[in-house]
Amino acid sequence: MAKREGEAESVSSAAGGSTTPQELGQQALAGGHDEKSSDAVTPNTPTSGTGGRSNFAARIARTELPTGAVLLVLENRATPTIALRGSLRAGSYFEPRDKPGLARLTADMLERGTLRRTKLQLAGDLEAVGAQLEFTADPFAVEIAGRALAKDLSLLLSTLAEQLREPAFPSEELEKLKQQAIAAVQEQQANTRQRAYEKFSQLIYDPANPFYVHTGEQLIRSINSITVEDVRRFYEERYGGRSLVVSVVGDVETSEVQRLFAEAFGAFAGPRASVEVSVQDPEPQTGTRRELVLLKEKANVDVLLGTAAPLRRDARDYYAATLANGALGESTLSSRLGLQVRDREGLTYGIGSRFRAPSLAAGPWYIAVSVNPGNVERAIQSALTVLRDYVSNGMTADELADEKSSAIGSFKVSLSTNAGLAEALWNAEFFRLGTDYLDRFPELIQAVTLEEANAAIRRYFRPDHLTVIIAGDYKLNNE
Amino acid sequence: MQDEKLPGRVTFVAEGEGIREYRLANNLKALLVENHVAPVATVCVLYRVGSRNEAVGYTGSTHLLEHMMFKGTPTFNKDRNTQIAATLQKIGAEFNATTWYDRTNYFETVPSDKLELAIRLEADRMRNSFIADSDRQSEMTVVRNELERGQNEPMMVLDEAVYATAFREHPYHHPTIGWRADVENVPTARLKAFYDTFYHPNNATVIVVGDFERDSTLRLIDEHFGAFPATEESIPEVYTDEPPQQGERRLTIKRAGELALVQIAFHTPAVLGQLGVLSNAELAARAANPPAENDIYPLVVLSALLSNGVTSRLYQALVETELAVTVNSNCDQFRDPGLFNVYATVSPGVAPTEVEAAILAVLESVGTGEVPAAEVEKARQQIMAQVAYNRDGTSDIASQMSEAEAVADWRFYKDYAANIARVTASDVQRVARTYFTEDNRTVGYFIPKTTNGAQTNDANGSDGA
Repeated sequence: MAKREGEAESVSSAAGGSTTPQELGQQALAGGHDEKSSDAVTPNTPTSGTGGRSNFAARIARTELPTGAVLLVLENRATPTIALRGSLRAGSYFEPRDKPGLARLTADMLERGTLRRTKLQLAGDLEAVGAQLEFTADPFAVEIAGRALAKDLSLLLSTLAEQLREPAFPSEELEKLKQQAIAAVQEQQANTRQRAYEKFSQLIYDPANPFYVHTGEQLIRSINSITVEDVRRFYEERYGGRSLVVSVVGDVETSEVQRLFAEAFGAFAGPRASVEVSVQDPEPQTGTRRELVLLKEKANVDVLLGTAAPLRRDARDYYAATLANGALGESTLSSRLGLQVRDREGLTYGIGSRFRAPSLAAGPWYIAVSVNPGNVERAIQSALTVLRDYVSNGMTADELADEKSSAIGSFKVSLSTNAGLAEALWNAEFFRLGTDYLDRFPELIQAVTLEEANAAIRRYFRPDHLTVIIAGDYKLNNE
Repeated sequence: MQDEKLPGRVTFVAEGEGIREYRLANNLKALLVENHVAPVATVCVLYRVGSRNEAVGYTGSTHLLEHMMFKGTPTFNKDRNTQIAATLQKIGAEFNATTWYDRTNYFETVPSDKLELAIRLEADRMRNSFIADSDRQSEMTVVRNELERGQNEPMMVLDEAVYATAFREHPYHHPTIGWRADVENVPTARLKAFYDTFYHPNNATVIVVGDFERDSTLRLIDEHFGAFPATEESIPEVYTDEPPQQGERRLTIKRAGELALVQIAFHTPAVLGQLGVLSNAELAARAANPPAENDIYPLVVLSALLSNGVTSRLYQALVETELAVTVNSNCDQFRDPGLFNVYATVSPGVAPTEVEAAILAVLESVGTGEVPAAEVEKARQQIMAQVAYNRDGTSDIASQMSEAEAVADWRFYKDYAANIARVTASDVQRVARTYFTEDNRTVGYFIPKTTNGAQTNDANGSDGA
């Protein structure tokens, strides 16, 4: 039924999503994405049935082609559909320093014509059967997401292969894409949340860091300068089967998927360049600084308080840190920050804290809160009071127990759809966690001790060393 | 098909495609869909009250009340360390509540061994919520900040203005979030009155989807929801029809921003094809026995054909030609007659008038030109694939069923794909000619001003950007 999937309310990025205001028009109790600390790379963690250990590992088939490309398949006959998730290591980390936006444009160009078919033909063949295949670039990966009716498995995989292996990069399509990308950047300049995060990243990282976000002006200048030759060179250096990971979940035969995958990607060699990632964490910030991003005629102000956090996905204390953040700011309705700043004081619709995408490198940690211009100072002070108390006194044993059951329960919930399972399989492979990760997750969570959680709180949350950004129609006191 | 051993107060009503409808003695409707794919279940409680039930002075009350429903009951509250959100959070539930024009719903997806807790909690807050004045005061500012966040988004601001212009009399005129002054000033007693008027078993549907055992779940529903009596008075009805629009309406909003927006809206029928407001009883009768012809289905196919994907007509005419950065369309599927909307983000340096003209030319072409059968077939396949995707997971199934119950009943969900499959090219052309008329349309522009007050692209396209 065409209308509204998903939680309404927070407006998606301006980059041309297909959401209409009426789809966003319903009012939800709690907003979607930003208040949640679930990071973008890992799924909302957790498993195990009513008691016993789950056994996904026995049902997951993992194969690796001689080129290094990895396929994971899980049969699930619940509906006659399939979900596909995948990645290549060709994100913005790998683009030349003076060409921000190149990785994203290259990924977007994959849908805009191959040596065999034009953009219109590619889209026409997928749209005729309601299939979808999309590429986006994040700091490290070009992410692939697809879905189709089960009968169209072969079409989905062959189209993916054609786009990844035989892109044509037609110049007139690049010119159109550049204009659209520039308009999207321009539109985001009016978005308080986006502008707050942009400024925040610029203060805590140097431009070489993969989490640094360029200004709109820099991005527009760079996008304008990118040529077909730039795109082609980046593709030839960075795309190849060696870093390809694909997971397929749904109403499929494992052997059939494996056969089609080998056919499609058996000869996908390369890339020539290294796909390894090596990032130096920034020096820890000392002292607190505060900056304003002025955006006129905005009813709401977005505030970020945070810092670079030296947490990577493979860190020993990853689970302890995740649980530590959970009790502080996972839920705007029930975590410490939400209970004080929203529930008791009524200062905000949304407050939460999160590690943003701990991945192959360490990303930031921050508290995000939306607030009326008249309540900015109160909200900041209230959030800081909660944070200071948390860091001084730590979390309680009861809180940790609740966070554990929450993480384990919500992991189980996340594994109840094809899309959720495909995401979890891809995630386990991308971070080399093993196919038994889905089964081991509850044990990994249960193993965290209160001492470890409290050590993580002291390590990552530093209330006297924060970068505070206020974006909206607001005046700082000292101005 | 009858059940063998139903609890005393439960009656089996109907069954179709795995959905089973039951009725409790207090007239609560229960819908069950067993699905043992994963060890989870979704509970969703739908109340037939939305912002269509509000009027001057208390717009936004339905939504504010929905927030108050998380403030607790004598059983679930902060003092007892059983706060509603914390109770759900700690079992790993995915939960929320939403309010819209036609309904309010509360839902949680939980590990299946926690189903009893979810049912007990939802039943408890149906009749036992505090709705205290002190809670309203702090929650009002939460909701006001939610409103402010919406006001930050040009698309939301324009959409709100278009609905307020296209609907002069019917309550779709005002947004679900409410007008700011109403949100700020509505008395707690009004919220309490709303609660006591609409939150009753005979105005609700309980939907359970997932990994559960039918008999024991029916017993749980009966034990917890069956405890409340039906109201003695009938639930108040909405009867305010929107009169036919007689002539184009236009509006412009000028505000800080970056890109101009164009929105064009046309009045359409309600989801069961009716052109006016129906009482609850009339709606139930029509849903159980829907008309053979219903323009909603061709309108939904028309929307897909216009804007779904690169091959769609509006994409080709506006994005491919670089007049617009994005273009979308949507046909409301509401309880009462809604709107068919087209939304475009205007490319930098292009005049909104040019985008408006291009959209209108495309809409005109459907009614007067060729519509190949293959194009309609593509649109139908896209919608039917989407229907299949929306059955992946208990939460999506419960959500779709809840929307169907709010505007018609669950049969609307069950028969949706079959009804879409029947749509022909001539149906699509007929509805385009019927509804895409000048007198029936409302046109809205959002014109961005730069921070110094200049306009970056004004309505006529003299370009300052």
